[in-house]
Amino acid sequence: MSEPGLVAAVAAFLYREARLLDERRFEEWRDLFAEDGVYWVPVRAEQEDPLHEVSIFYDDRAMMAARIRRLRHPRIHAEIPESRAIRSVGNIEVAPPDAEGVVEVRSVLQMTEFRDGSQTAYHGRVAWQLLPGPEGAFRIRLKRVDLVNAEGMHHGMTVPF
Amino acid sequence: MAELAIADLVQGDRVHTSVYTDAAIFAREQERIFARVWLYLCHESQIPAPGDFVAARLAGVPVVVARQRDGAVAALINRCAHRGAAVCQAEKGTAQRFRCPYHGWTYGLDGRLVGVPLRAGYAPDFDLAELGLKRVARVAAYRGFVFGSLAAEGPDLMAYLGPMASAIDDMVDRAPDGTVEAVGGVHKHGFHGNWKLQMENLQDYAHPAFAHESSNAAARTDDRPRTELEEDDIMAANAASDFAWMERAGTAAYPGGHSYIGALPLNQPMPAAAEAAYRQALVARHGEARTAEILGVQRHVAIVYPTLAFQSALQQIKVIVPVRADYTEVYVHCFRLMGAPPEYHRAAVTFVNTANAPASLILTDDLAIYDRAQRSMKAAPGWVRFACGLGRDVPDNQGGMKGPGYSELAMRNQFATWLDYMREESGAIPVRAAAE
Repeated sequence: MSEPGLVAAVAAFLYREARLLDERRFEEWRDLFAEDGVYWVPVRAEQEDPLHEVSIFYDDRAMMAARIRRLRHPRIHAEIPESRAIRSVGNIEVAPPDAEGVVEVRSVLQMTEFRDGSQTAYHGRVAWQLLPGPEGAFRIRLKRVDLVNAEGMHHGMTVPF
Repeated sequence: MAELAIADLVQGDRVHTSVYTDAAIFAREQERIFARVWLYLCHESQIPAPGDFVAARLAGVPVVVARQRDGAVAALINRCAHRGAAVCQAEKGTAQRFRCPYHGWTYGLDGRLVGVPLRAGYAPDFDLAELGLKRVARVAAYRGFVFGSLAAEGPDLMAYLGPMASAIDDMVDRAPDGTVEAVGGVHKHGFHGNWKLQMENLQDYAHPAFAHESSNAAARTDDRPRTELEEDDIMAANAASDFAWMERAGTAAYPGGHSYIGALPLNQPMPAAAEAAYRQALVARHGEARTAEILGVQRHVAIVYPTLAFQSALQQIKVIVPVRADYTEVYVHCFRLMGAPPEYHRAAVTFVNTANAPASLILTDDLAIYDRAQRSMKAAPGWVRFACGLGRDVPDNQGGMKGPGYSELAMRNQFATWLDYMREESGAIPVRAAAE
């Protein structure tokens, strides 16, 4: 794929990923991840190790599935009433694919959430590792969200960024 | 608007909602409780070398805990003697001295004032010796866990901890090298509720079946073999805590407000080689009998009143920081058992994330419920009740009382202690007391 073509394909993929979450299509969102795909929100900037240090999210596909089953449960108190969120994706930078075809992507994310009567703004920088997927799309090997306030005091978080 | 004396706010099995909502009561708590008790400051592994420091708060007072050149630990109140600015802005770091960013007054690690710019502008008898950073009156440590008290007088740390020093033993004894280190990271979360809501919840086995129903239901129930602790195991453990099980797990409460609840039915699978290596290392240090005793301690959460909680078997502590009557911050620290195989540390990280990350599948429901309880109690004052298990408490063998795991014994004990601190020299203070 030519570079402009690749950038456009990546952008379309990132917009769709954000929209699946906005529309609470969590199962379809999870299907974007490779079998060994990971969704990671570190607890501090420059955190390197999710196994020996705590993380805000550190989900493999099994954990994503558990999280989604909970989000579908009628008595998830933190989600009554159901929250609403809008994610904006921008500043997309795409590196050329490496020898295995892995595309490293950087983007920024703004998510505004309305939950339990309050509006909360989250901002983060996202690092992606995308594998070539079916029909010119991608599968996510890693989505790492570095929140601008990772080290700050947080309220409960119920949905992925 | 009626007036209730402090002594009337806690009556047997009922407590008036103003203890959660009233700003004047909160101010009195800071003075009567938090300024007098021993509060957790840090772990020694966070400040191993001279000059290492970490920030902490005691009764709302910002404190810098610093390792001294002689190896001792001092806690300095982070307020410049000159014009009141904070002299140290970092949460942690290493320093030779603390220089105030405002006018450059400079203090040693021990808080002594060592430099004042523009000395020619001061009277010749201007005495630096009297103007150091104030120090926290008492600092003491037990097995690496450092506590401070703003009160110069009172029981010493070991007398204060009483039988609950065992919560620290329960963690440190599990380390084959005999030490733990605070290297697993920190989760921080806040909620718009009173600190006591959190302290009650930590000793409350009656809530998971309801509050955490969605997590219990979401946990996988397949019986595929596990080789490491997984998130689902932690979620499912809550679901397994039925009535008969709670009865057996038990709870115990002690003078001073301390208490614990028995362990969850949490299976902690480990790779066989790691488990064998761990056990062997413990046996080498302690022998078979003592190792069995150490691993046999069955507690889920132990409370050091008023605001410290140990989940020792999973190397986690929770430090609760009351900020206002209706806002509380919580710091969750993950420790490593030194000398244990890395799998043990990874299990601790998995546990802390699952139970206490801001995005936890368990914690988030508690936080939502605290926020709503606070709003409801503020809007509809009256009484709340801690009657479960009342009359079923019996003396335990360490000077406390024990009961079935679902008992609200620990909460009654927390409020009895609260009243002991709060009512001394008490006069009536205005609170909203709606008839019920």
